[in-house]
Amino acid sequence: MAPKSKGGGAEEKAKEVLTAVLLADSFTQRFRPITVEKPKVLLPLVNVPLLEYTLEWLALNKVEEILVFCCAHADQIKAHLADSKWLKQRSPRVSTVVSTNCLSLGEAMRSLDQKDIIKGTFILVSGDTVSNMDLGPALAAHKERADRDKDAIMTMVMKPTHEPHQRLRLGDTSLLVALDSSSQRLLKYQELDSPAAAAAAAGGQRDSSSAHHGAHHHHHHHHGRRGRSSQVWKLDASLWSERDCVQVRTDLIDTNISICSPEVLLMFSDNFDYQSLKRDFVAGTLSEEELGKKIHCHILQGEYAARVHNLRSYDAVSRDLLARWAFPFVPDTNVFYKAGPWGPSSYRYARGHKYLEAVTGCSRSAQLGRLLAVGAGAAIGDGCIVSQSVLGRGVSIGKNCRITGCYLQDGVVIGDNVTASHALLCEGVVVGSGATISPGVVLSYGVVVGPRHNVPAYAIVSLCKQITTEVSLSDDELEYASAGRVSSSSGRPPARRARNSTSGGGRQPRRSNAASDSESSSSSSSSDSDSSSEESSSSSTFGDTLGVKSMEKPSALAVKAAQVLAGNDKDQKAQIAGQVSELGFAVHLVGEGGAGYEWPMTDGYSAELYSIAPPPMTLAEHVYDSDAENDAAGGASDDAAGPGTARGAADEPGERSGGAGRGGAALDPETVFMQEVGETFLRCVKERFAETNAVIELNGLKIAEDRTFADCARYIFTAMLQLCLPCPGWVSPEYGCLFPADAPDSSSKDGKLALLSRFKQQLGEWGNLLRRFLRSEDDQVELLLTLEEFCGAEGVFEADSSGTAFAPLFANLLQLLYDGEVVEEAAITSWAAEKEHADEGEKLFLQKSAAFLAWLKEAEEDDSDEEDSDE
Amino acid sequence: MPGQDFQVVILAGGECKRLYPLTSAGTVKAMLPVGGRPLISYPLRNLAEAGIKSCIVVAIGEAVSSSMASYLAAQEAAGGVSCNVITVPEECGTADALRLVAGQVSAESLVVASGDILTDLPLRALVATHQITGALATVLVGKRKTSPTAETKPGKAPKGVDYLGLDPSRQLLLFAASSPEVLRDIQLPLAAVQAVGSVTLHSDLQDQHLYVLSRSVLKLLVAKPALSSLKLDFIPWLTRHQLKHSQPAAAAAAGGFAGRASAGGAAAGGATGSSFLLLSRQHSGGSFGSLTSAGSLTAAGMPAAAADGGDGSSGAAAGSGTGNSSAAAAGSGGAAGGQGSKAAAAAAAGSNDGDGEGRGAAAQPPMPGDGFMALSHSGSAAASSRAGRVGVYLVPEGHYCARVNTVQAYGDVNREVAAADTALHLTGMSVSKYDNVVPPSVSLGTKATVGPWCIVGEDCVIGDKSSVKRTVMGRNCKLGANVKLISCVLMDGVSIADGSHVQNSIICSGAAVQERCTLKDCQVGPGFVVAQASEHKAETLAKT
Repeated sequence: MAPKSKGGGAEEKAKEVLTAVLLADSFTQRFRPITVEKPKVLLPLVNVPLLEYTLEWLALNKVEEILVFCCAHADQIKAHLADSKWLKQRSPRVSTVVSTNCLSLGEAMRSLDQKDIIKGTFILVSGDTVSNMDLGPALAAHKERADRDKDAIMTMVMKPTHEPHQRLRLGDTSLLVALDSSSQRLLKYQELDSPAAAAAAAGGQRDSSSAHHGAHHHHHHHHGRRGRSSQVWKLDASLWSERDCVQVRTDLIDTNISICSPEVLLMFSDNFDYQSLKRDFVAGTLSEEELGKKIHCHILQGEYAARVHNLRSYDAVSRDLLARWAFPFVPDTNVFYKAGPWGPSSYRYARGHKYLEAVTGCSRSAQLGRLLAVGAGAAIGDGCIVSQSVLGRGVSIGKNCRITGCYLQDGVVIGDNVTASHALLCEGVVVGSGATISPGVVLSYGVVVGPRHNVPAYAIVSLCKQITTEVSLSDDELEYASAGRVSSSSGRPPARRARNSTSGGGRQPRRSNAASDSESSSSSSSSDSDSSSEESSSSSTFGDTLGVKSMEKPSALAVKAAQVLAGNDKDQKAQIAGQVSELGFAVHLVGEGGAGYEWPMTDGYSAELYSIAPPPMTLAEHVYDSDAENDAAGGASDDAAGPGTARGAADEPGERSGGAGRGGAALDPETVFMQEVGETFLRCVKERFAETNAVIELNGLKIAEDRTFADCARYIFTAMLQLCLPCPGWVSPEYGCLFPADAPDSSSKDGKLALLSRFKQQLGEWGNLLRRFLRSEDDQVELLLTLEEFCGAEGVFEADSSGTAFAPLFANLLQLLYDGEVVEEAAITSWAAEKEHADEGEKLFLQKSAAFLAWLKEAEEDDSDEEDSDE
Repeated sequence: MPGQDFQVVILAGGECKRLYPLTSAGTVKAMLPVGGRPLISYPLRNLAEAGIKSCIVVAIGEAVSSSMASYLAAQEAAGGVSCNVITVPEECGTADALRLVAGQVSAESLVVASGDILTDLPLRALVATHQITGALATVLVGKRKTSPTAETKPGKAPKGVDYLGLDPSRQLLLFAASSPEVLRDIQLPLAAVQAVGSVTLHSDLQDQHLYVLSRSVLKLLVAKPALSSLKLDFIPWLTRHQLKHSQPAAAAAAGGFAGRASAGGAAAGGATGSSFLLLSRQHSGGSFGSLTSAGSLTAAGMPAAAADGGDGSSGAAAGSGTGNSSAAAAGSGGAAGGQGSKAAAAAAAGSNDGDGEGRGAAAQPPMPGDGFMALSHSGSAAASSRAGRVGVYLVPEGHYCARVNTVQAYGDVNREVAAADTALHLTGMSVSKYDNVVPPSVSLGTKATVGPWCIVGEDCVIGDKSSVKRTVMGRNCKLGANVKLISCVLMDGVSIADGSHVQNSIICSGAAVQERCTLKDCQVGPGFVVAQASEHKAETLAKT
């Protein structure tokens, strides 16, 4: 496995140290302007820096050596680590590798290769990964493959989605993957962008790289365009020359967790034009088949893995964390290190996914809703309604505020009567009383919103001015305190409450020499030289990405003004009024008395798709419906126009989520009720509910729909019968797996026996449940009438032909019900008596069960004889 | 009655150039002998076994219908299936042919089978599956015996392969493309994949050319005259368009529901009596005929049940009084419990769906895929409903299904039909103690041997010291002395002279192989004479 050039011998191989390379820079700009001031990996996610999740997860997986590769804001990351537990403990060894001049992942990999510090298999992750996956199986599979075939150089971890909307929720672009079904070898990998997403991705991608490295990018774009315009994916038939099955999947999300052989680094060095892992390395490896390098996939089952790669996923992952999907990474395990005046984290779980730290000051009249985390020292005023939000430490909220879906970082101050929904407010933000924060708003560090102002939707506000190439910098904008806002936050004037001033104490000191980690080969020389290199680089390295040549940093003046505006001191405000007007804050966004500049988004960035606010449901159709028009135009150009399936694809998820609404609006209530009972029952079957729980579920439905027990029993019974046959059309696909794939031929004897034994099994499993819904003899008679209807495909069962398969078995079913003590003799007799007077046409099933009835009568007479003799 | 309302169309095909030289000299494909019986007899026998009394047989070209006529009449006279033969012009594709007979189809479902299919699948099970799932069309799919990769060089596209795209539950056909030649590119519509998330494209599965079509699909077929072949054009087209066309079907179903709404409502509303009314509907067709046959099964089962029911039922009856009341008590207790726990249940349901909380609250737009993690943690991949889609029926393990559509397949199927452990049961013949079929009219020379898994036709003569292994011979074949046949198919009236060795070859009617020839992997056309002492390997020998 060790690359040939470094062939250190067998003993080295035997004692391979499990290494992870954690990229603390994702080389994109999606979190700007927040990342202008602070690296993304230090962004708090449910009040814990993102980096901590990744580190904690790697440690959990017994990774021995973690190399944190820092580019932008390396100083802050090193400072954070120095302050954390990671450098204090022996295992895992966490060390930083600083390479501030890296502009892309490719350069980072080449730099790692040059440093020659990775000898064996390593895990490549970005520092924004939140996962609870067990790396063991994926690692073992990778190593097993690599031992067999040294060309199996990489294993990519992917996670299936089960709903197309899931991708939209995570702000992910569509991904198209072709795999060898048996070996899980990756054959094709293509990011298939929706038009909006494509534009956004182009914005995030550095232009310079594509200009320089035309070959690969040309390749990629060519594919991309073709895929998008025709909505047909061309697969070379030669893929089937070595395998029988090729699996094409659109339901996978790339977790960006990969397991790599050291050869991957070599390949990056060999192909100096590789920039991105996916667009260049993976695409290149797959297209250069003749080199024989192989990439495989590991597909997660049920484990959690997600990347926080834009604001959309920031929101989605936060909610997942609160809803405990990433267990053990939930607030109340308090595993994460947290310093500051309130000490280690102290969350406690309360019902409804509420997590409150030990010391919070909530008014008794404040209503705290579900999915909520509140940090220590937070104060929530009277009459507030707060839900689906994360409140950092020392957050202060005034009276009668409504906060929904918001992320308020440490020390945010909100006045009275503020309404805020689906917004991200960074540290030091102050919102004046009566203001409204609309969905999708991002307020970067220290922004002040004036009182009674309405911040429009999707506004992005920062104290930094975005520097566009056309506008040259004025001198005083260049004049900034190099310490930046990050460290000066503690010096912010206390806004109305004493504890706000201490909120800054929760943050790390700007730099400590401990950050220069002796174990890192790059920084092992001396702490001095390290810090000096930092110094020199820091002047040119801001932003998540380093490619931007201009310097962006809030001006000292703006910071000062914001601090004054946030405060209560009227004199001071009056003093600086002139300066403020000179600063030219974006009044339409922050209002009078507010501080902040508009941060325009890159062209083509779809605010609706990628903002912190949930995207409108209509977009879900948009993404998957791009070829609807093509086909609606004409059936004549059928084959040329490509698939006509879009309408269905778009309609169906909506219908499904609508529950019983399948098949259009005109369903009669009885059919709807039948389907509801059926689906509720199927859910109980699928979730393997205990009988008592199933009773509760069905009872709930019964009460909600104001029905009788017999009504429920009827349709539980028919659902049981249907479970013996292939899935009927009305059943939602998620329960399809409960049904057998084929129907026995009920006109042959074998088929009859097969069908009966299937039903017998159902009856054995759920007979008790059925009995609990049959309260009286009348109920049982009702059940028999239902069976008749079902077998005759009558009434609500008219559109469902499964019953007819049971028609020849009517008498046998009757007997099974009798034997299973679901239906008593009396019920059968009174059913038969009732039917005696029916028309001839309706006696069909009565006639079929004549033999059974006769036998029953005989047995009854015997019984009564016995009873008589007893008495 | 929807249950078993279906009609069957058998596409007997035309002369079939792909089977050259077997079909030269006026032999039509449908009448090619397989295991000593005409090919068309196999699907007919399958129908007869399923209790189907009549079917439509479509012949492409007059030649086909006239050469089948006498056989079809004979088998019907012998209690077989009554065949309504319809002749369509020679240039018709399979879809064209079906279009021409569409007017004669009145049933809800239509089974379309190729006349060259040999299978022991219960046809009614296939139809029942189709009808219960509510699929637009159900396609019978079988697994190839050998993987196409065995015959393909790495990096080259395999030849003559069906590419079938199935969903993870293997119940939906989402993509179909096939070509008798090489397909360079597979053009997969993305919407088909997006609909289910994952499609597996198989090259090791074959479309067996047996389809169950719903009436609505037949209408589509009629409306699309440009689609000429069922397998190559129509089924691929239908797979591409299934989601769109499922909409009208769904609407129709909804209409059906709506039509019943009043009756259903009445039934729900009140007395049990009203639901009786629903039974007065007329049942159409012979599907209930099967009910009478079921009666015998029921009756047969009854005495046994009566026997052991004696004690059990007395116990049940004795306990019935108290049982009733206690059940009621438990029930009401349960009801009270139900009431009490309803709030809890509602709360549980609420917390189940992840972050779906508070949708009622004004300022909260619903999240796409809200509570989606619940979905993705619920285990198995989403199975797909076949309703309104193109469904797949995979030939189950243990069933035989093959088609005679290539020369290679003709040889293979003949050998399999002769093999007692594979498909001999399809012929209805029974084997001797030597595992072969040798009628008494065959004359065997001294020291002549007929190995196991051979079928020898009436009146054959096998010369001294000849040996026949794994071979199917037609009537009136003459083998000289010292002839060796291995894995061969001989049609009627073939003569093979002394000392010839023939292996893995097909020799058509009236052909002759003269003395001391060696043939391997050859096809000898009808009436062709192979000159003496010649050697041939992998050649087609036929009159030009």
